[in-house]
Amino acid sequence: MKKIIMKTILAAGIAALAIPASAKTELQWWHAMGGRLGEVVDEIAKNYNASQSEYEIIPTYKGGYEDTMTAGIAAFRAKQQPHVLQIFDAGAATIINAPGATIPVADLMAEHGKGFDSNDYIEGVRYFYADSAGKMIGMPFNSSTPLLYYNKDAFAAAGIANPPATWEEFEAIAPKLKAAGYTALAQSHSPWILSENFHSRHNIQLSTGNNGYDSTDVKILYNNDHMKMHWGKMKEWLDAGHYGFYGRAWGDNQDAFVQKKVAMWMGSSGSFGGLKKSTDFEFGTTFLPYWKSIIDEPKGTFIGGAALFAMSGKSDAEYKGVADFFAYMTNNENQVFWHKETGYVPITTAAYAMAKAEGYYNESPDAEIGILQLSQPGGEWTKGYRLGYYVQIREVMYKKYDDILSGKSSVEKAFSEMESESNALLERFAATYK
Amino acid sequence: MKRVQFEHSTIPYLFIAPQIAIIAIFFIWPAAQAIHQSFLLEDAFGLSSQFVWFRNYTDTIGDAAWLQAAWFTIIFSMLVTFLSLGIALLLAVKANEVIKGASAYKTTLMWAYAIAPPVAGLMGNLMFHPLIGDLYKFFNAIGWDFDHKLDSFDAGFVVVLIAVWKQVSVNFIFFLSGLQGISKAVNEAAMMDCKSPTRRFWTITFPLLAPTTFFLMVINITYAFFETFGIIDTTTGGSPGGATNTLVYKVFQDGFRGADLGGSSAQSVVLMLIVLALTVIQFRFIERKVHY
Amino acid sequence: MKNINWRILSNHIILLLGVLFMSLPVWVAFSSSTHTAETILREGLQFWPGPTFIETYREAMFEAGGVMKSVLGITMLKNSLILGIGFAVGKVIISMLAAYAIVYFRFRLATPLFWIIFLTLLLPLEVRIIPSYEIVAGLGLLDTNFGLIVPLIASATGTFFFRQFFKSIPEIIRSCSIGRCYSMAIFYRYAHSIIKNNDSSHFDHYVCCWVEPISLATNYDNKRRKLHTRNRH
Repeated sequence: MKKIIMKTILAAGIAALAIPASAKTELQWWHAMGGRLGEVVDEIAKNYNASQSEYEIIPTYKGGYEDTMTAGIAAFRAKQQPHVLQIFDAGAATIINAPGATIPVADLMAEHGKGFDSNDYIEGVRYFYADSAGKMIGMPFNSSTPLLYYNKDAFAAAGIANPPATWEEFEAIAPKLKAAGYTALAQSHSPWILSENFHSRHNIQLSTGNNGYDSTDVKILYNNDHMKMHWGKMKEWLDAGHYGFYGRAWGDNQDAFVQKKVAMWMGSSGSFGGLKKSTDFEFGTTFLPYWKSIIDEPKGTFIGGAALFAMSGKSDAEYKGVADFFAYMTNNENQVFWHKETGYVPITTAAYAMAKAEGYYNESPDAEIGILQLSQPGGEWTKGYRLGYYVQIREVMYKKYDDILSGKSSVEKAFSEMESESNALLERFAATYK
Repeated sequence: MKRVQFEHSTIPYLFIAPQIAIIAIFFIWPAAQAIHQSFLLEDAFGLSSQFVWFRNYTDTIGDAAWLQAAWFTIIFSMLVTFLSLGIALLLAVKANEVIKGASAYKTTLMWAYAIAPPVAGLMGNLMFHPLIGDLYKFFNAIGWDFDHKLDSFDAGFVVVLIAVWKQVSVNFIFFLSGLQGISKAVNEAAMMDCKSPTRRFWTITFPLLAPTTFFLMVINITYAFFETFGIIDTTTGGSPGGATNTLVYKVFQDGFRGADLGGSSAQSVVLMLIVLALTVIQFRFIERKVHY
Repeated sequence: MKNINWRILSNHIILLLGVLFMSLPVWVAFSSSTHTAETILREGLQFWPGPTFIETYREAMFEAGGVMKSVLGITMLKNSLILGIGFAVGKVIISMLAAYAIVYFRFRLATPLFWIIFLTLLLPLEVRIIPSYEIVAGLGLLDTNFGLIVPLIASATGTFFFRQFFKSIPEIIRSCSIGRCYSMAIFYRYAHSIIKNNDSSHFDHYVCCWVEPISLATNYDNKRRKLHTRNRH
């Protein structure tokens, strides 16, 4: 009997010794990065956890952008929210306008971290997730910008030396590409590429109220002559066989480029890595074309992708951890690592400089095009937009563009309906915050 | 009703209690929340809300996209219900009649019921894929300029086809059971008076099948309204341009994707009222004609 | 004689067409899964099985896949099985009890309760998912099997079906009450025969719980009908 008791006490004693002196503070991170991107996220998290012993960040994939946002919303309402939540561009207005849902990253870093200066960040990145005074609320995480990819072999076959810089040049070379057996162009996201960034590139105002940053009581300004002219041209090009429309799914239009049905494709700077693996031809990247007739010196574009938000309702100790993690994420090494592995742009000027110094862009000049485009001089309207119910507004846009391209609706009618339906949505959103 | 029933006070309540309890917690409470939400304009995170009476409802009914979805839903449901019921009934009657190979037919016709809507949608995607899909190639080959990603009629065709396909098995199983429950003696007796098998079917068998048919009609309409969500999500996603949006898919889009909780709650209440009205109509007017 | 032959022939043709319609998509999906992706992209969907059956299925089941490359197919299958059985068993028990109560008892709340149950058909899960999340979280059932199963077994289809079924069975109770059967005993007999017949069936509990009771009870009921018709003559 005594032996058993002794053994039990010994076992308990050993077990007690095995309990770590202090448990790491757990930080929950919900994100929408799947596939290869998710693997890189996991790697970053692993490295962070190994680099220090106070905090442990736990990334969880919650599905696509909308699903992750909805999961975050449901969790918040049930008081189960994560510490860090990834929200995409179209959801920015929802989370930023919710009073007190998040702690602005500028405040978080200033209070719990080592300080924050938005000038550390690249021009095109700085303002999208900031408020109207320029204070950054979300920290841009996976940022990309639309670019033009072109099939170098196709261009050689058609006898074209350089990719078009302007849409006027595009119109000139498209027939040559057609003669060589290619449809000239496809693109994967008409709202992002051919509306939002169209406005930025040509420095056209997107909505009233300072592009929506100043208030929620705004109206959309897509129904303007420049857009109507451009989309009239898109329909013309579709009919003439210079533009191929493969449905609204991103992948279908990208596939058309990979399968050499089209010679040029407008996609994301982040598509680079995937294209490199799946294409069997040489391709190059260049800036998004612009209309010389609208603007002489085109402005930069702004970022798509998503940002990380620090959700409210957590303790100070946890926020210290979040700030620590954010600082880790934005240090140069990690930014360059993320940039190289995923194709997303590094968000700080210092990280960009480091990548340049390493000679990364000498080996892969195409990887730099996105950053160069984002670093181009900003104009009044290159900051991005802050519009509520933007997911639904994008649906309206998709529908109207479908109607234009299929011939069901005239450009004039489609844009005027787009305007009234979008404004109805914006009005509802504004009424929520009265 | 000729039915004899027990008069007993506690047992029925005990029997029905578990279901009512679960319904109260997981249905009535969320439903009440949804109704409450439909009268609010609330930001997604629940931090600022306004009571706006029926504004969400008027916004919904006045919304062109909602009206389009409503119209499509009605047509879609009618097509899916009648086609899948019709095909299943035909197959069940024939399967009941044949002798050789009966069980082989029955098994192969039944087992497709086990396929979940999203899986059916994915298989449909395969068959209609522009690059590798046999059906896509077939339709284009017979001269129909088929492109379900761009043309709303083609997209509608695809979702109706897949929804009907998925549902035929389920209806088949129930019809077959219902047919087998009709005693052969009845049919044999009728054969003396009526030579034509078709007429015998419509005058004797079909009315006897009425309880099953009624059940299936109600179930199919609710299936078409609600459970085809999985199919639409994996095939067209409402495209092109909202042409294949059903009302339930729109609720999902606005609530789940667009974070418009007030609007989507109003839409779901309206949807619920529509289906309720349809069901009441069926119970009131059609069940009268059903003989148990 | 000729008429009957034509009829049987047409029956078989219709049935064959039906079988083709229902099975071809699944067959083609299966066959295509046994070829490599390159073959499919080059030639389109395949009709006949190919060489890579074992590799493809091994990869699907046993290699970590999915978007995050962290789930095994076999794990997902196991989860589905647990949830599926849970749903089926839970749903059948609860709906059968409720339907039996509604059909065979006269009590004041019968009709309103039936309609309340029926109303669950009108508000699908997609619509009530966010409040349901809060409730499940509040009950501490997040991330559990139980928490996944319970919200979904409050479905009216089972109750509705059993209601139709019970209603279509004629007056066994009258004959039975002559012998002084009690309601519970009758229910027990039903349940017992239903459960007994479960072993002899097909691919899935769910189906058998629906189909078997019908065929079982209708056999029983056919005998009764014969008795009735004989008595009437």
